[in-house]
Amino acid sequence: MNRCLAALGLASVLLLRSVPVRADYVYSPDYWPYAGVWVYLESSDPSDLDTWQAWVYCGYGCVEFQDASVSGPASVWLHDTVPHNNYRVQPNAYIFAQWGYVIYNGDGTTYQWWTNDATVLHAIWDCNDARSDINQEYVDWGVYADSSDHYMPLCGYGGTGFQSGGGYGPFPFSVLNTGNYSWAVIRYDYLYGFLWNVQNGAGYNITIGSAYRNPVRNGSVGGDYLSRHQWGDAADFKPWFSPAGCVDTGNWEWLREVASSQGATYIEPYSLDCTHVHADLRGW
Amino acid sequence: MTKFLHSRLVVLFVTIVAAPAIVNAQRKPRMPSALHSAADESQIVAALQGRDIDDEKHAIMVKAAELPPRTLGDSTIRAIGNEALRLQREISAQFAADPSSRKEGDLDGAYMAALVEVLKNQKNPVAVDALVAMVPYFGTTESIVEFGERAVPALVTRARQPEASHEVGYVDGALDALEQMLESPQIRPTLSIGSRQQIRQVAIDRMKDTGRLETAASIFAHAAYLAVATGDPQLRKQVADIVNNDVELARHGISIDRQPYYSKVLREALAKNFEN
Repeated sequence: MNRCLAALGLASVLLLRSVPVRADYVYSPDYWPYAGVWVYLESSDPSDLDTWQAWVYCGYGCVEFQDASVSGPASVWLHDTVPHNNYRVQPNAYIFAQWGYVIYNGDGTTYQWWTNDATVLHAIWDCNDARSDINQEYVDWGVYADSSDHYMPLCGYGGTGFQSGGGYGPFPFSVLNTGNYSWAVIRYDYLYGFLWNVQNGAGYNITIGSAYRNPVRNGSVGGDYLSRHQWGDAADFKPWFSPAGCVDTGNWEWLREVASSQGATYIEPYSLDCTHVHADLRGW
Repeated sequence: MTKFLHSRLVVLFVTIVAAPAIVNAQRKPRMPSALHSAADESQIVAALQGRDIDDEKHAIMVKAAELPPRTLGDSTIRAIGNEALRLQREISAQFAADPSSRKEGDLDGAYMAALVEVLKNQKNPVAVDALVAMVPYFGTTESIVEFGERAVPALVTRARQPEASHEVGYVDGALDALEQMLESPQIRPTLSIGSRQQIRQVAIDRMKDTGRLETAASIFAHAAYLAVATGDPQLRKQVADIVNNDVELARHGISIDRQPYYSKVLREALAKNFEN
């Protein structure tokens, strides 16, 4: 029993020592137009950190920070900033959960750490409402901005950012928000108009099955983890009169045709899911 | 004392080891580790081995789609194209057997889409056949149009192929891509006489043979648009005569409720100046 306890204790200590580095992504109006990556080193033994180097590699749309060499106390921040550049550095950009450091011990030996384990990614900004929680979901779920579209949610309201109401005609916010919150990321500048035009072009009402989904919602309905529904520029729709199951091929093709003529840049084929037309406006 | 120590260590263990594990479990799906770094060619080639698909393979292809154009070798592009085509056939067969078996977000569909994204961004003509097979889906039309002359034979072949009952939009997509080539001031002059003849002929043939009833209207409309874009005066007149005649439109499968839309589209085509 004592051996078992000792092993348990040792495992706990090793685990404590195995998480001495934290990388935080910082974005806030205070830093505008800059965003920064902060690496925070901690150790139970301050002498570990007499001299060290750290690398952080960032995902797309993120800053790069590498080969920094700093002497510091037991806990220290490495800080680098880059121009925000028109959302290119996203508040939810994924920072590669890959970091390393080398500690140069006084006796000439080194201790190196390099891992792919998930680093704590923390979005340090607060919208003072559910938008903060939504933003954090993007971080927790690793949903990052892709190379074709740099749009990501911000605390901002309207335009290409968050919405909590609005819309018009048959596609009010309540119809397009198919997420879990009272806020949603909806490309107000495109999606409402697009769907309105599709319906007018089709000549009959369309039913929206899904539009905005926050990452947790997207995961719960089996959506691709990089689904455009999380960017608020995608919608699944079908004729109002279509029963459950596949939309008939004639009407499906008709809606595809109209959606394409109204500017949909990405449509998925019938055979991937025949219950609706998935169209999105990526790249706009 | 031992008992006290024991309980303290158990609490410590639960706090430090078990609790984070529970939190992590609630955060599924985790970001696949392949998304942490840029994809390299050997990693991509390795991912293409075997038929099993998982999140890591998918993530490798998502990252591969961010590589600059023409950075992957021809053999890799060919392998990606073959894998995309294999998946397309497999998904199509599954769908034909049971349409309800396919759902948005199925990993093989997402993986196929990622493969197509790589092919689009690499801009390598080796990918033409695979991309043509996907047109007009996954945003492939623009990519295939850029290939111009090289893509014409495959597009013409695709436009002539009959569609299975569960295949929708592929003939339209091929006709539309050919039309966009003719409409492009950069690409049109580069098309050979042979290619132009092939395009003209497929437009004529598809205006006559519009396939099954459900999708006849759109195939006819796309073929007619293409016919106008060829700049052939005879074809132009033929289309103009049909557009202005409701009975003729109906005879070509365009129902009354869709005539306004297709008439408008074809009138727009006739209003354009397609040089011969």
